[in-house]
Amino acid sequence: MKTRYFIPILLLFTMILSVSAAVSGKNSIETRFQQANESYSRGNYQKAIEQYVEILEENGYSAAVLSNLANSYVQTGETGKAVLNYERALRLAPSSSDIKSNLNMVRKNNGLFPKDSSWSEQAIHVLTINQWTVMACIALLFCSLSQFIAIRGYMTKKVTTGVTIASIFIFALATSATAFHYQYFNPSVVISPKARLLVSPFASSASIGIIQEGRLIYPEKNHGDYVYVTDETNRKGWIHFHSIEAVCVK
Amino acid sequence: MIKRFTSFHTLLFGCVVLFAMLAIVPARAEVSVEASLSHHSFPVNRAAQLSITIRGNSNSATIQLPDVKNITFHSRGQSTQVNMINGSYSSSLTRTYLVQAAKAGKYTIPPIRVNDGGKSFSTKAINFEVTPVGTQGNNSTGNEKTTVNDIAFIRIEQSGNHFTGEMVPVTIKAYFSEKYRFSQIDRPVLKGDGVVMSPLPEEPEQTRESLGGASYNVISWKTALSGIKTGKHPISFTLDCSLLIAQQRRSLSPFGGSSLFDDSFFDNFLGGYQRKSISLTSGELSFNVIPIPSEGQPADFSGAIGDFTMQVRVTPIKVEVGEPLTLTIDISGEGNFDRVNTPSFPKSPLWKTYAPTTEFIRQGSIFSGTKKFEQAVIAKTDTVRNIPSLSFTFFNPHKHKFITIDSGEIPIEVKRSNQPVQKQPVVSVPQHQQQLKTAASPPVAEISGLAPIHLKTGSFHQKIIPLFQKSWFIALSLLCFLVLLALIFLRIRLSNVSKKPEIREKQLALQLLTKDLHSVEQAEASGDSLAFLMACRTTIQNMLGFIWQTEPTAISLADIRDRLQSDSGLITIFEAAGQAAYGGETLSDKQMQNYSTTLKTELENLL
Repeated sequence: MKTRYFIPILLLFTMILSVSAAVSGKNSIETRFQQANESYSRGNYQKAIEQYVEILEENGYSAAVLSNLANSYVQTGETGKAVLNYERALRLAPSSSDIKSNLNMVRKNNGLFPKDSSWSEQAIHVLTINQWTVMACIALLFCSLSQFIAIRGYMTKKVTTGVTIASIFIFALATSATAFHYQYFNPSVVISPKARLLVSPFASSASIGIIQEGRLIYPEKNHGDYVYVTDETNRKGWIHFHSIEAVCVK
Repeated sequence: MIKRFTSFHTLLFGCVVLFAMLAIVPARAEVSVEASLSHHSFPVNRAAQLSITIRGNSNSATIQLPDVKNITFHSRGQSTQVNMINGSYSSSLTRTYLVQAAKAGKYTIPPIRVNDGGKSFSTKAINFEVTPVGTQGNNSTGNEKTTVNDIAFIRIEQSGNHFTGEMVPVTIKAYFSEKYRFSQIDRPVLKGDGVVMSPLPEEPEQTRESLGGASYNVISWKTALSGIKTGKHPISFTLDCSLLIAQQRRSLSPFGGSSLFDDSFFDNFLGGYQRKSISLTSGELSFNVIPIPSEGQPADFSGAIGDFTMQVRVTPIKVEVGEPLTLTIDISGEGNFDRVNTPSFPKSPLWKTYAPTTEFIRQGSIFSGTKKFEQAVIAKTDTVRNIPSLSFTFFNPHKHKFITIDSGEIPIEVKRSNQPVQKQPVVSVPQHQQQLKTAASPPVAEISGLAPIHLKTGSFHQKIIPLFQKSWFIALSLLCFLVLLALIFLRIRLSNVSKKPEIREKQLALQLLTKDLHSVEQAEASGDSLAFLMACRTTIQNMLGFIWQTEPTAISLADIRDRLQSDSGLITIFEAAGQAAYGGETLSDKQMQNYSTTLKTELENLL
């Protein structure tokens, strides 16, 4: 009799403990987040940065924490790190208008204007990479549904064929747009205020010019401590790896 | 014929060679001996070169160097010269020695005896003077006679008056005689007050020059001097290096005579060198520093002295209010770039300015190049039409006057911004957090226009990856694909079935057969022979009905007998079924098993 109830009671007890630990952990993170926010509100941006970074290091990435961290960097004048964290936050919450507007403002204030996009690029950027991915998946489902309807004979063959063709077209379009987006999904950001593009991957090499802090660049290859990059304005050159940081850390 | 001709030419060639050899054999020329000293006056810390030349055929000549008190001779090797002019052949042998004195004074080298083939020859006596250290240094006035007599010296060429802070280009040249070997040559050091020297280049220029007929290896450092206080400042340069003096070796012959390796030629390889530290000092220079005139000095003069040009660019030239413009100011030329500051952007309520960035691009010497300033400025209103004129003032030391360069106004186009002005962010803090806040700690936001900070952390992610790289999404997509493939396969199959009705009929017949056989097995298992035989009969009728395309229930025993072979087991089963139905005949378990096997075998054969 006692044995019969022992295991369920033990399981229940373990479950309650786990849930309470998770809840208290979450509360602890929220409390620390509020403390960091308070440091920010009081104008102690350096402390706020330390607190936000600590939360991120312990728990992973959160759009809200990254966005607040980026705001703190804006206030301390660290444009590069601000842009980096806004970009990271946007990867997690691509439709957040707050993050978008903050990033645009920082870029505008620091003269970090991107190159003009073609109409096709603008069209692709109407949706985010995840939205395009979901669209491809939905197109796949529609295609399956049309096949099912055709088998069951609920609709005419003409209608189901039309739905199938449209679904395939949308699937192809969404997949292409996802692939296009993915090319620019993981840029690096210049975080050093005096970074220079060099002709060769050596410290003594001739300089192509200064590359602005906060500028997005796309690494292509490495050589020693240097990375060959292309920036948003299609300038190419070598940059020291300490001067840049990737948006998506692998 | 050919052989004879060849032999004749070989003989002729041999005669010519013999004649030529006989012709150039020199007659035993008269031997003469001569001694010369490179310097007849030299300081005690230096040396002169003694050359003893033996002319004529004198390969076996031996030289007996005299003993002179406080004088040491160091062998420096020998050279042989052979001349053949208009068939007249002559040769000479020159042996070289370094003459070094232990102390200053007047000395005489007595006649040197040279023995050659039993004959003895003598040189003339040589008088020379050894002076104390430092009494014979070089000076910058360029006394050529003195400089040529030195083995190493420093020379600089610089004169005139210079303004305080002016960068005066100077080339410091250190001359080292090619006849000597030097090592550990340090960089020149400036001695003197009131004048500073720019850092010397890491790799000085190395050339060869000839002065007064003597060749020197010259090391040149290009640098700049700058007076830091007014007045006449005596300055000089010193340079430390090591002079390598060849050591004369002892005889290596175990028998006391001269061995092959006793020749002075081997001194360079086997004798080694004595290292002697020497310090070269240039002559004293007077560096006259005069003050920059205070009269007419513009207020924005920052101390830049030299000759400069200024170029100002702005990008973009069409902006909206609030958009930053990048102002690039290039100041190029020669002078003290460390005192070249950013031309100040005029203070105006129409403009917001940011601190400029600075970069110096060197061109050639350290005081020539371009100083590049980049400054971000923002027009606060659309009434702005021009970038105001920027000015840069410097003092030109050659023209002795202040020069102010104005960039002039640069036209730009500023449009009204279409975006609404964003309000100052207001950070709302929850109730329980407000208790923690002090009364005098209002939200501070140095940069206005930022959207408010987030108050909830939201969900955390271990990686920032796109949706299609998430494992659950990959699994879902694969599932969708599999479903789609299955549906497509099914649709194709159904389509094929609809196109060929016999396939469908066959499928139906097989399904019916399976069902009938199941009934047969059930009846067999229950041991009900009547039900068994009825099930067998129905199975046979259904199968034959499908095959013969007739109604199964209309098939009789007579039809079966007509259309099947007489020994078919199906006829027997069908007959037994009829007898059981009308006569009540029963079957044993074994018979039912046999009939069941026969039925299945026969139907299988029919299909």
